[in-house]
Amino acid sequence: MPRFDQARPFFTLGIVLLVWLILPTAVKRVARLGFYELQAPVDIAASYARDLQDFWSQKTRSKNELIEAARDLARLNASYELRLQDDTRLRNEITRLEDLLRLPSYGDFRAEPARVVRRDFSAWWQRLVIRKGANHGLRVGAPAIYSGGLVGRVAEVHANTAVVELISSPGLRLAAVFDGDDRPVSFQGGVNAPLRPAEAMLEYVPLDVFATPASPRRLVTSGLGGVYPPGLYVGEVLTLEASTDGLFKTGRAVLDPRLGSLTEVTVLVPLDPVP
Amino acid sequence: MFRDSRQALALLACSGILIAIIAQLNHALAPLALTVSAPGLLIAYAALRLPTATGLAVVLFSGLWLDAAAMTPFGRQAALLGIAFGFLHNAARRLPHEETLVGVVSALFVNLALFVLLAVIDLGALPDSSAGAQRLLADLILSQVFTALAGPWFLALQNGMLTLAGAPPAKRARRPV
Repeated sequence: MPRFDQARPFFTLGIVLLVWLILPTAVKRVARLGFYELQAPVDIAASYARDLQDFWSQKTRSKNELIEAARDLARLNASYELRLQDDTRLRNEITRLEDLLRLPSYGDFRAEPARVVRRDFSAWWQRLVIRKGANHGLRVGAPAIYSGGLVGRVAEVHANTAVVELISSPGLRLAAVFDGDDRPVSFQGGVNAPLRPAEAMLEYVPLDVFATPASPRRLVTSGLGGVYPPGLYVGEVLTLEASTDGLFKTGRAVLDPRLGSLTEVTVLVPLDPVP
Repeated sequence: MFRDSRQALALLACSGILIAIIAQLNHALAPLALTVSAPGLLIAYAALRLPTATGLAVVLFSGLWLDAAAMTPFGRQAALLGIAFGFLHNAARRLPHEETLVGVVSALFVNLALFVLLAVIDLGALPDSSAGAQRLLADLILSQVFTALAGPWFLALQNGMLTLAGAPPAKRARRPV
């Protein structure tokens, strides 16, 4: 009897696991969604509480500080106005060249800004939960950006939240190019040592590309595959070395440390998504 | 029957609180590339103080709660917590299981065992194993410190919650070693 007593927890667990294994996948998916949506309000409430905390801390600022901030903002707006005019000119030029050369145009996106509810950065995955979801038209696979470049792509969409997988996550691969070079290289996140900015692995780098800590190279999205718009900043490459087969180089890209402290991102929702 | 349900619901509420606190802590620690996890705390009280069925139900539901927000296959953490529960529940009768220190030390051992197990299973999936190992070691140290500091509070919270629910755990006799 004592022997059965000892085996009882494992026996019960065995029966539970057996039932779990034969459960249809749809039931497991519904269970996962149920558990997720059950805890989503807790995360959202915590993020609203943080926003309220920020609001009250901003209220303690003096009028002089606000006047200085407004002055800086006005200068910034003036420079953005100039950039917008330049942007319109360049867009018209691109459209003219596309028509002239009969090139297919790049997909267009709608920008959907969203607050970050929670950062979930483990050794195995790096994700952000954001406060917008299917109710705001977000789709799985849509790219997310911030003022410093590419953040990642939407991996899961729920009713009022979505999960963005970061470019520092081992599960995210993309085709990137060196700034000023049009040959694609393979980019994979996942080097997340403690107390240091995240790094990513680079493969299939052409042999004639060089990068050193003294002259680093910027890495941007290639636009290949149609998921990410071209030219978005991804990281900085400090070292490159020949791969074991000698045909290409491999290296590491240092990612922006701001990726670890994002409070808001913008999801680019494709206007004409591929069905 | 109702007593068991009350016990399970009270402990699940405590698990929810702990998981929410850890999520907020990890949110704040993200810029430092560090993560805290304390699966041992979710198991210790249920395994040491509750009957098998109630304790296992609490642990499995807590595991599914964790699984829902993770990128691992749904049910994996629940199964691992269930196995750890089995070992700890068996050892409970040989231990002075009502002592807070025993609960905290058990939680620390469960944390360590689950960390090592997950590292063995998944370390190869990382593109750079050495950076991954550094990260796991730092996470383990931080998690153990958190468990040691928050453990007494969390065990007291669970005890208080069960008393509040009118279903304190029954006293179990210790088996002589």
